[in-house]
Amino acid sequence: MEDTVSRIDTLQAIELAEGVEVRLRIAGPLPRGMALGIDMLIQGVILVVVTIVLAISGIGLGWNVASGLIMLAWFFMSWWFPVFFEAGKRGATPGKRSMGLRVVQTSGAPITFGQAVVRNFLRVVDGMPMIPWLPIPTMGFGLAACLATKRFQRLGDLAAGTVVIYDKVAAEPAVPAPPPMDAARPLVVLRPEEVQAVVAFRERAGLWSEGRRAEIADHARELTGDHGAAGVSRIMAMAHWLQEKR
Amino acid sequence: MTAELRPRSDWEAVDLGLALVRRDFWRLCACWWLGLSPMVILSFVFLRELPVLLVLACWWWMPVGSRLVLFVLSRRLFGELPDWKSVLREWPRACVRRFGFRMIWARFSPWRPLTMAVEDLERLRGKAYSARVRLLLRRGDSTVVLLAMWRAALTFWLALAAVYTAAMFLPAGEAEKWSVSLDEWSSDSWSSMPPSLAMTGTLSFLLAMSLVDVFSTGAGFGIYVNHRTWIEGWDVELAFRRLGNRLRGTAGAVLTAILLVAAPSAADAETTPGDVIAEVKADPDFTVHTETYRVPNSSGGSGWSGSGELLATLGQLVFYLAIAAAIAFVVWMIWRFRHLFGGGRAGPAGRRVPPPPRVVMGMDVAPESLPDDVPAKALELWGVGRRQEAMSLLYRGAISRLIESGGVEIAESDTESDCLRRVAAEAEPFAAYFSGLTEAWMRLAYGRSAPGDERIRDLCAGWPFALKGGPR
Repeated sequence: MEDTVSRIDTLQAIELAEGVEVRLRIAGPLPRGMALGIDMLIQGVILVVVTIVLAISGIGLGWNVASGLIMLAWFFMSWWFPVFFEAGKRGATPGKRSMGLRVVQTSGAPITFGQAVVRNFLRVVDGMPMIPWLPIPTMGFGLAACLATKRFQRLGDLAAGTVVIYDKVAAEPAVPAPPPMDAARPLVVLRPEEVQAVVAFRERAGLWSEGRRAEIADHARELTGDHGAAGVSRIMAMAHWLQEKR
Repeated sequence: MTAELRPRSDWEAVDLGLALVRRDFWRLCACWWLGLSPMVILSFVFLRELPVLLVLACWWWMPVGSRLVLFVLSRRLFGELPDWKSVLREWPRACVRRFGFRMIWARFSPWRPLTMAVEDLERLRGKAYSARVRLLLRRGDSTVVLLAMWRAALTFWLALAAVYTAAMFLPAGEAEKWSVSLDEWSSDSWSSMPPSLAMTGTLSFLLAMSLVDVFSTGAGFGIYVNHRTWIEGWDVELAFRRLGNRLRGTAGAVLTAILLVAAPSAADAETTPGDVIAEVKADPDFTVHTETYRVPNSSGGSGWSGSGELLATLGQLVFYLAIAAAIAFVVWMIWRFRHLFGGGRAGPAGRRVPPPPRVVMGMDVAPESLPDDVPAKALELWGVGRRQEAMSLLYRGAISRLIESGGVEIAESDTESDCLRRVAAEAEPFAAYFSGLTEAWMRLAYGRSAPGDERIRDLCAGWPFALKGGPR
């Protein structure tokens, strides 16, 4: 009954050749917004420094040359800075990298130079509406597109066929599970997702209270044939067998 | 359960909440406005002249809207979408529930999206409530606090964006008035504002508040579900429940199968395979779509004559750049394939011979890693009881010698039987000895059955290679 309803998930499964499935951990607008903020900060600092240096050297170079160079620097910083980083090996601007994000194609492959150009040049569209007296894009359109699409894509992402994913996720604090006393073979054949659940029970049991452990284990009474603490230790033994002895 | 439960990182939990809201966005928005409607109506009646107070009053009433959103969202997660009747029944309760605490004492609490779930869904009060919140926040509340900051910042930001989106569509005369009054704007000049601007600002603020609050309530609910998944193992519990149902189901199914084994199956006769195929093929996935693209012809360029000189300079520049790139490419190719010019490794027929492998099947077969007299050393090791080492020395010595002096091409990825086949094909005289050695080695390595002393002595005595590795 439950399986017929399509369930919402933040992971996106992609089937590769030979039935191999990879899952992309799609990233939502909030971490991406923070990455954007960091990027804008970096760009701003670099531009201010470059402008000051060029303005000082303008005394020697002549004012026209210096202002031309400053405009070039502005151009490259605002249009090519993200392209340069995202087309590179890591597929992420410094801000994205510090948030653990990365840009990939919807198929999970690294993005090409052309895609980096498309998605970053369309930043102007995503940045609308502009605030007139501040040269700051509000990113209103981008945010709206992000929230309205299934894979949190802004307009540039939709045009280039890219998504932003979590590249690395900080390890969760884990409480070590109690050491297994013995290994037991499950009496029935388990499906893959059931094996996963049994193993997850052992790995995360350290985070639960004793009572809660017994409560969860009681739901699998058909598997263990036991109640309470005895059931818990039966599941632990089965998980041990599934992980080590098989 | 209409969402995938699994232990997630905090930000992924927020994303899950956003995805949940997106699914029922319009319904949730309607619920939010329903919750806020009394205050909106009141304030538009009495506070029309004071837009700041109007927005503040609506802001203060916001938790009621969030409560209705949470009510729908939480029930939807567990598979039942509440109808409007039950939402309406919930509405007065949402207005008064823990009024003093939620609407006055904790109105500024940054944890509201998370704690509201505890008081609304778990119905906890007083000590139990605060203990529960402490427990939930033990996994860290940095994401919740960051979410609160996002909420404040985004409300202002989106309100600005909405005002300027509206400004984009203004007729010219009105736009003039707006920009003048915005230029002269200060906190005490509300009265001199054009009424259309004040109204647009107010409405933008309400719109931004509704969007941000609906989505951030969803995000807070996502964090709440994720925290509970971590500390209570919801996902494992559900998986075990399904497992239990399946096992109970199979026990029942076996019984019914035994009971019904004699009964003829009438249901199968009704659908013939032809019907099934026709039904499957009627699916829209099987219709053939044709799309035709027309590539526009590029017309010959013209209109550049005015800047002929500039074009010539540009052309020259491109030409020199192309030459420089070509030279750089050739130099890089030479550098990249410099080993082809070395001459030392080139085969007699000028064919490129791959360098002999250093490692085969994870064993080091470089000649300098072996002793000069392999069989003597192996016999010595065997004598002191290090049998595995002795056999492996013998085997990898044989492979190394075959590569070095026998001229057999063995790749790094070859298995034992690959090696045997190659030796049989390329170095016939060694094949008999090598197959015996391989068999003994495989028995020991994979079967853990050591050959007798006699056999080892034979293998060492029959060593067919020159004692010292021949020069290449």
